[in-house]
Amino acid sequence: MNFQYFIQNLTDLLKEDLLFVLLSVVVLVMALIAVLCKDLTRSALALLSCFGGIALLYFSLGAHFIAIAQILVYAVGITLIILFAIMLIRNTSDSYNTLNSEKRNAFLITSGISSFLVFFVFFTSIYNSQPGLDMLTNICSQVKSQLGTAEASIVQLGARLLQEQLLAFELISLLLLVAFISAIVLANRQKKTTTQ
Amino acid sequence: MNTSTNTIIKTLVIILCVILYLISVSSLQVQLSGVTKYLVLSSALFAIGLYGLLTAKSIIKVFICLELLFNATGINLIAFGHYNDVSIVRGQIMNLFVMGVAAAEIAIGLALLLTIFAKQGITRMNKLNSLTD
Repeated sequence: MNFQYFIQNLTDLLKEDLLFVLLSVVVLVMALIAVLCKDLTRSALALLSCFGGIALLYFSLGAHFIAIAQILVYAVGITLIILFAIMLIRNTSDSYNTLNSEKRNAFLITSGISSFLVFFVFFTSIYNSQPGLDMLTNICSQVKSQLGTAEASIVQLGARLLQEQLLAFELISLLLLVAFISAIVLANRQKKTTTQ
Repeated sequence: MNTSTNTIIKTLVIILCVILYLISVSSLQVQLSGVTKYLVLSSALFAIGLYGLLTAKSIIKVFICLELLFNATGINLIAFGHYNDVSIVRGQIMNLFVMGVAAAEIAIGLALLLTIFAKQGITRMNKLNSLTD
């Protein structure tokens, strides 16, 4: 086993690309929560943050249009549809809205810690002299260096999509149209049978 | 007591799987740079989604795991497109098409799920056996 080699490799990765390591940890942990959590609402919300992390990965890869489309389609659209389906299907006997004292204490503690961290980051970034900010400035410089290639890739994407891949583009729009019409037909048929 | 021992066993199995995954990655002697790190991430995401797909009991959980699988392939496409052809953005175009197919799939699937629930009151995977009767 070359475990030492792997540890060395990981430390190199931590030094070079800290942003990737943070985002991949967020993505994998949120995917595990989405798969393993028993409560469907929690797993859908974990799926939301997993998709958000993947969109940030796309930003760091220079695919800005795909990142925005990922946020619009996956993180908002699909998660919202899943949440609506959970809301329509859920048992009415489940009590989700009970806020007992333990939950309230947990809310207070976590919101206090997170707001303290946010204020800490803001004040230290204003004075800009604390040594703990090296990690943050490292991430910011990485993001800044990768933001330069945005416009060229978006122009290329539009040109390729509407010149070479025009047939596939039209076919995928036709597929979406058929899918949405059939979804409406399915939902309407259910309504008719219940009213008759 | 039964549920707590069950969760402990489950977490132990997951930790074992993570250790086995790390050992197998380290035995490949690959350099974790360039496109390889994205491949490691997307394979891990694909494995998580496949585990959830095989063990899911609720139909909505199946859809959530399917979305995870789609996203794992999307990370692969974008990473290969970024590292192999920067000027020709074929990977991004493929990912746009995958996104369209995923949106169509989730619309049809959840409409079917709502219809089944309104007619039979079923949201579990193993109860969907009305065609076998």
